[in-house]
Amino acid sequence: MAKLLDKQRYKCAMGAMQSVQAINRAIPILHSGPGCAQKLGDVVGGSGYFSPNIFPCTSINEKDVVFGGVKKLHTTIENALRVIDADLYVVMTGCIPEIVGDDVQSVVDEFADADKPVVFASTAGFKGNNYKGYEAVISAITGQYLKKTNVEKEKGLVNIWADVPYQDLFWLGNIQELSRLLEEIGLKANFIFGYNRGISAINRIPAAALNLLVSPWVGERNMKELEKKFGTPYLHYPVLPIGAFETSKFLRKVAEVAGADKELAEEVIKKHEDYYYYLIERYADMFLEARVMAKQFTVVADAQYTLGITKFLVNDLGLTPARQFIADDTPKEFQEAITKEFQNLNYGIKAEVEFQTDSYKIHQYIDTHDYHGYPLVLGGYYEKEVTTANSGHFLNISWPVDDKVVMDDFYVGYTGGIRLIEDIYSVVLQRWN
Amino acid sequence: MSYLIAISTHNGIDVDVPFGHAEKFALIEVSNNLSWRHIGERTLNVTDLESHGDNSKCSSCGSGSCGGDEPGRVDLHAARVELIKDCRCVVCSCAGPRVFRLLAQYNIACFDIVCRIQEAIDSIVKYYDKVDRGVSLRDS
Repeated sequence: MAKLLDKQRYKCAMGAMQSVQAINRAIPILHSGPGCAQKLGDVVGGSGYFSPNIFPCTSINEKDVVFGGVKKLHTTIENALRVIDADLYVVMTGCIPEIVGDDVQSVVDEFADADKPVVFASTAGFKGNNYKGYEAVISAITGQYLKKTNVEKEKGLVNIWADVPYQDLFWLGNIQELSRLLEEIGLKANFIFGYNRGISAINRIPAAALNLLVSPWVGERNMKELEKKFGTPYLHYPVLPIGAFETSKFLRKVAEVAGADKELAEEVIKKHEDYYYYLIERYADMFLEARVMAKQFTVVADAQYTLGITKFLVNDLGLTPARQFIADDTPKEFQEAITKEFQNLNYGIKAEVEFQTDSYKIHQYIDTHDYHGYPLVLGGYYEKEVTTANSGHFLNISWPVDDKVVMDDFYVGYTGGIRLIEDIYSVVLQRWN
Repeated sequence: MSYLIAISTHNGIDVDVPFGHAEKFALIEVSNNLSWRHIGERTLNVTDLESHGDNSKCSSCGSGSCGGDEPGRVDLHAARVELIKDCRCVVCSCAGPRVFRLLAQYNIACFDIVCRIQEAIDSIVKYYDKVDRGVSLRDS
């Protein structure tokens, strides 16, 4: 029997063209139908040096299905190299050319001697969603563009890999804040996405002494590939550190593994915690007076945010979790480890977690569960209606995002925790004003 | 299901004539068992059509070969489409967007490609066979 999926929270693998877009002066070349490119390019904050409307696309049609689209792809790459001034060209495939068997790799190989690097990421929709597509893009860049050389490792240099750009609206702010925190404890951070990064940051990847993956599962495959190719060890920190408790734990772990000065790390942690708890103390009256805002909360997001925010709301704010939903189609092999993290909360609290991609079932739960008061729901815009119908408090923290603009705001770290508190209580206080 | 394919060709071996220049189309019949044969040609009687209009008024090409649809002028594209309206598809060396739109009115697919006729027909027959049987287009 056919299965219906209501309101999924991800795109197809070719949606990772946004990951390419997040790399300064890199451009995707799409071998797909024009509709795919048009739909996937729909994003707020997607303009800039390159925007989706100028991404070269083969715009394949029925003729290319019958006779193959490799000639058209060759011409499209050739002309893209001629007229678009980019540092890196990433050829990405949609479903159609992969179904009919276009040999894209061979076409891309013909440009091995081009002045600018051209790589190929296989991103057909049937290969997975845009989280998988992100991994394919990183794999293509590090596997095909970076050459295997015996680069001397730079002491203290750490590559940071965290959120999936654009899928996570806080991707830029988060990675910049993680970078600032690492540099405060004496490390040098390198990341490829966002302002002033791009090809120079990609070129530094092999020199890093450590790869730091801050994600429950997205990107682990890439860490293994980098370890194999460049001999770079990696630290997989599965929890997005939000708020003082998790961030201090995170910094201690990174300092230990990266060989940073532990005394300096403790000084940095103390400085941040002092300020963090100063702010918490100042607003203790608000927390007390608004204590009826929610007895229980639900987070609906990808594994990164559902886990990170659940830890924060329990460990730092002392709230009680109802059922939490992970809606990113997490691969089965990661689900057990992620579920264990939800059992590892302060005060002996355990959170129930469900891996669920069907919004109908998620909304059914929110609609029928007894939250013992106003529900607090942090999720995608899809949750707004059901939360409002249940007189709850809703905050849009995950895709799709339709009611807020995030330029470089972030939820990660000490400051990010404070920002999240501000956002939650700004919603809550509207009830009493 | 048997069907017809129209081919725009000059030498009878290659697909080598643009739709807008075609004065005749070779007709291929594909039978239920996927075998195909050349069953004849359909010719556009340009002289008869031109006697009813003034092609020199076309501002695009001056001769009417582009098939422009200015008032008082013969619409050669429409005449060509009318000629092959019982075909499932047409293969020609190139075609413009207006041709695609006109053909779409009769649900006729247009494959604009330069290749051998044999190669074109083999690919098309294989494609329609998969479409008609509702099986994957995966090349296996």
